Amino acid sequence: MGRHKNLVLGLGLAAWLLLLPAAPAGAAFEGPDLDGNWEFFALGYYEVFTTYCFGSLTVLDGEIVAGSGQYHSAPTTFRGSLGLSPGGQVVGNIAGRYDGGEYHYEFVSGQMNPRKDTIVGSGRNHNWWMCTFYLVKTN
Amino acid sequence: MRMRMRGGRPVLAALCLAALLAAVPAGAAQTFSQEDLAGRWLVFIYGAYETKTEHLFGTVDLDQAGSLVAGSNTYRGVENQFLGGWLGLGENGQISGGLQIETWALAFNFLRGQMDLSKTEITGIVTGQWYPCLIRMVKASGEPAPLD
Repeated sequence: MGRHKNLVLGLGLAAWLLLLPAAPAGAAFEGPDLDGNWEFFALGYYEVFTTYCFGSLTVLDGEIVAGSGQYHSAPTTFRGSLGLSPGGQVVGNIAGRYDGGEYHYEFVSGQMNPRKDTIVGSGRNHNWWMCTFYLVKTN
Repeated sequence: MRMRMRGGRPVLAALCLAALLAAVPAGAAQTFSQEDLAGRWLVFIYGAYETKTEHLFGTVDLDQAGSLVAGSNTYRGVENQFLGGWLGLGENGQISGGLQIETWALAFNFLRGQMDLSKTEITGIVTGQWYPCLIRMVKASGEPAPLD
């Protein structure tokens, strides 16, 4: 009887442990959650000016260590840094060069979702045009 | 051979197994296939160029091949239908293709798009009437996909 009791107890504990990662409500965020490959999308508008940008980037220890895509119609590379608070708020900037020029997008308010695979943000570009950002995790 | 287990071992074994499984990171890889596009999606598009803005919200039904089956939308305040379209889904979740609406036979073609790991959202930049737009698509049916 004692053996069966322990087995039931063990399986119960195992089931409880397995359920833990599926419960996003209490998800705690840590810096490494930013690490990996992301698809970046930005669109902004101010008065009569529009800016857009998209591409792939890789984050390691909060730094954008690789990335390329398109800034308006020009090919671009990415750099910059991102930070993540325990509550999932995202700060930082995504910058780049294109055709000899430079630009950057700065998060004013950003949030990672509980599944930690999408970031939605609002902010501005280097001209202070208001922008919306999305980062979608790809690995 | 006779196996003997003391009372505490099943507990330990089960805990070790659970710990190993639970250690799989939330960002584990996902496998995508074209059929993941099948179903009903809500579509939201916003863009602006000079003094013109464009916005669309609507619904599309896609089949297993990613082709448009039916759909309606409101584009710049005018209700109309989707004329056609097809979306492609790459093995890493990249989205290609586009959707065409009745108004001006306008086509929103993906310049870049990505399906999320749970296969319930698509985010991208698409061509618009005057300038590229931001598009978001949200799955209206089904469950989030488990990670591989």
